[in-house]
Amino acid sequence: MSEQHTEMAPAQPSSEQASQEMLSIRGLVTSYGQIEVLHDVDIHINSGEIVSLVGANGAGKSTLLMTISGLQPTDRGAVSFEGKDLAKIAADQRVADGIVQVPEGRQVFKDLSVHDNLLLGAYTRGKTPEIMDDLERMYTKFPILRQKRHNLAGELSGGQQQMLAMGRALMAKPRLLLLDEPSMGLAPLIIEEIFNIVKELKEEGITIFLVEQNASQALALADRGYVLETGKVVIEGTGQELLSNEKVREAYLGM
Amino acid sequence: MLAEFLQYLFTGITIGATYALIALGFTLIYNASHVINFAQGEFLMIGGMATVSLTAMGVPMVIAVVLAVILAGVLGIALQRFAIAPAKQADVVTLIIITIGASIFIRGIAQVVWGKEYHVMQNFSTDQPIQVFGAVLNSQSLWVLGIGAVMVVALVLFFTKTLIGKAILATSMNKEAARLVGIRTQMVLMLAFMVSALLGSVAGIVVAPITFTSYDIGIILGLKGFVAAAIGGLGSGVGAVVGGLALGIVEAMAAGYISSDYKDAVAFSMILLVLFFMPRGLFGAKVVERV
Ligand SMILES: Nc1ncnc2c1ncn2[C@@H]1O[C@H](COP(=O)(O)OP(=O)(O)OP(=O)(O)O)[C@@H](O)[C@H]1O
Ligand SMILES: [Mg+2]
Repeated sequence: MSEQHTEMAPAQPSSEQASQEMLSIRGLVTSYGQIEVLHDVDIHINSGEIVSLVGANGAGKSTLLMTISGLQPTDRGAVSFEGKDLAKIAADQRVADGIVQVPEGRQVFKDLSVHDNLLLGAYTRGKTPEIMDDLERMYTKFPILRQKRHNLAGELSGGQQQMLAMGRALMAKPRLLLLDEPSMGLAPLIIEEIFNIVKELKEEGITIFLVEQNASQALALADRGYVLETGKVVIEGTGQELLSNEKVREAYLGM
Repeated sequence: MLAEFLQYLFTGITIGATYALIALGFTLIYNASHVINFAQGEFLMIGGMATVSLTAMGVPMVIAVVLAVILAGVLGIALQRFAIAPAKQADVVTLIIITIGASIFIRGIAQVVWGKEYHVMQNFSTDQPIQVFGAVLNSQSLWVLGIGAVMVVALVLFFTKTLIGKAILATSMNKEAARLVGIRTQMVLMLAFMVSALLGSVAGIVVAPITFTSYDIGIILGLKGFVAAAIGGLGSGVGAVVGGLALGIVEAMAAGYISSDYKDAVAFSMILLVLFFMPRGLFGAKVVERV
């Protein structure tokens, strides 16, 4: 059914590296006003992994990512990154530390050029000559962006905007990349392309937390996965375990 | 005939350039925060009054101007820091009311410090008017236009060439995405208030020799600048400049050919007329969805 995730890169993260915990979320509770949205969530992500989070509309997936990015406050519980508690770390500092999010719905800066969107991705890095090299690398990774670099971001198609949003995030030099439904609203061929890029990023050593409603593809790609249901983690396991889990198949894979 | 027309046109463009600078200040803060800063006029007043009183104390003109602009800049930062920022969770209407309160407060202090009377500022250069086709051009008008043009060019360069300028634009387009790339949006807002205050004070200083200045000059100038911004389309830089010039010229024509009693009425009729036919102003953004 779903294609097996075959690892192609010769340079795999060493097993020691892979088992190192990068992000750890313990007992996380967050709410909007009086309404509690995440209840006691525990998730951890190891360095070098792709971890997928699947769940229905309104389960709280985006809220979780916003909490990790520091835009949504936590009520209780802790989020730590490489052993450091993030409670007092502001959103901009998290980006500088390497936690970078590609938000749901792309959220590109529509009235700025593609070029400026990418440059702003490197906002926290200050003025270093490497930024121009990285920009060049983005244009090589996403040739369509080079072609459209003088266009306004709002003029791009959905797939192109998704690539721009990913390129913008990569310009920050993430070590942990949070992807919020990158396949949303895109044609199957484009989705394929996006997932291939995600695989490539993993091979480049970036740890990835992938939030998807497109559960079969996201889990096929993942080392491990979590299922979030109305603000609670209800199932966790390796990608393969989740793909063959009876409940997951029924609720999220439509089988 | 021509002389008369030219005369009104000069007057209109001069005051219009001032309105344009005020309108740009409104635009900047509006874009960064959706707040209409009704204390904008006070930046002009501070610029003009501080320059007048510093020169009266014997400070050389150039230094007085620099100090006055810095004072306004600090005031802009303080306004954001102590009046706007603490009300973080408040909605935009509340913030707008806060700016009205702040303007009354600033005016009150100005009245205590400088009194209620009008103050006269020297022309920057000669008092000798310049004759053009029979019309008389105050040399100060050239200063207003020249400095206005320099400010506009500087703003354009700031927003198109610098990363921090682009960060302000990005924040105005999508605040959440701006935070996600690591832009500190509170800092951006503070910067917007500061740049706005700088613009306002410069406008207040260059126009002071023409309009005189007093503690309450900010009310009417601020309102006119707001009208100009609304005519141009709130949020549009080009609109602010065009709206300012158009308002200045129409006002001067009305004052010249009809009666100067109608000068202010013209401004407010113009805003009604433009907004009736073009609710988003001349250069207002097409409806963009914001998430
Ligand atoms: N800004 C907000 N204010 C109040 N409630 C919110 C806000 N954002 C989200 N919610 C609520 O929080 C819950 C979780 O929303 P969230 O967007 O995190 O879900 P999600 O899993 O990302 O859903 P989707 O798959 O549709 O993106 C929902 O019930 C939603 O209505
Ligand atoms: Mg979501």
